[in-house]
Amino acid sequence: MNATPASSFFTSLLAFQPTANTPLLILKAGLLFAIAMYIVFALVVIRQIDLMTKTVRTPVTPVLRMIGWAHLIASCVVWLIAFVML
Amino acid sequence: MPTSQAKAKAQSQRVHRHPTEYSSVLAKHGECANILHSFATLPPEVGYEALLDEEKILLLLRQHPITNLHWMLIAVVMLITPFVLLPFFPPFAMLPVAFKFVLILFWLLFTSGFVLERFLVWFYNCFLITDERVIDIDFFSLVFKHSSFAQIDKIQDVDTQVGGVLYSLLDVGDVIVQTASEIPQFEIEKVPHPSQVTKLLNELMYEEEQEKIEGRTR
Repeated sequence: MNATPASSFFTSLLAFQPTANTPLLILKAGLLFAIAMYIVFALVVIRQIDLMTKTVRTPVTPVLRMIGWAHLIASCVVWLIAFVML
Repeated sequence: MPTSQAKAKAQSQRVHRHPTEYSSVLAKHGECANILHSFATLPPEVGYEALLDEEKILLLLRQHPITNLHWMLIAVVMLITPFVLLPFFPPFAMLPVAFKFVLILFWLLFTSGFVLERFLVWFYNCFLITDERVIDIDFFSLVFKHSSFAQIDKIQDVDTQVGGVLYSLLDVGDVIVQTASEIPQFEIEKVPHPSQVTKLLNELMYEEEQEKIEGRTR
């Protein structure tokens, strides 16, 4: 009988033997998760800027929207760098 | 023969005087085009989503820039931390270069997010005084907002409070507006020139009375 991907994953987890690199692997996973959460925050900031600029219109509205999008793109770039480099 | 638009414009001009004609505060400060100003009189190109037709924003108020000092100092400490403090933190020094690089990048990103968030909260938590009403706009947390307003003719009392050495020197204080509307009290905290705000509100209240007496109400 062939093992399902899920059961293979749990089997490999149970068979996992800690090595010298384990703390770094945990740190990498933690970092990637934290940056992913930060990307969600950056999306919320864009939503917030949208709400604020609709409420009070000012000449700096396009600049603030651009900053919000630049912040989101920077977050995604940092996540990619972390994924590739670590 | 005048068109209907010209007639309407003439009627509007007859009904409402220009704010600088009846307000010494607005006449003194004139038009303030600096959108970052925390006491912007007759700000051009500023709008509010629920502004009525022909309603003009006379004063845009936000907290004095000095109130931003604490988070700016925190941001500076956050900015220099990876370069000044972290090298002396042993667990960080033991990490491989790639981890150090990514951690510093993430920290700087986090710092930029903190600065952006604090700036937005300061910039958009504002108080508008129009020729018809006072509008308080508050944003809570990330996506919640609360706007409340009161008609100028519903204002009953305006108080000013200035306290503390620094705030007295910088002419920063609170303005408390008591109204007969659904929101009984508006508190405008740590704004510049609170006495000027009070004076403007008194001038507006007087002008509203004059409009009623002279039958110039809309």
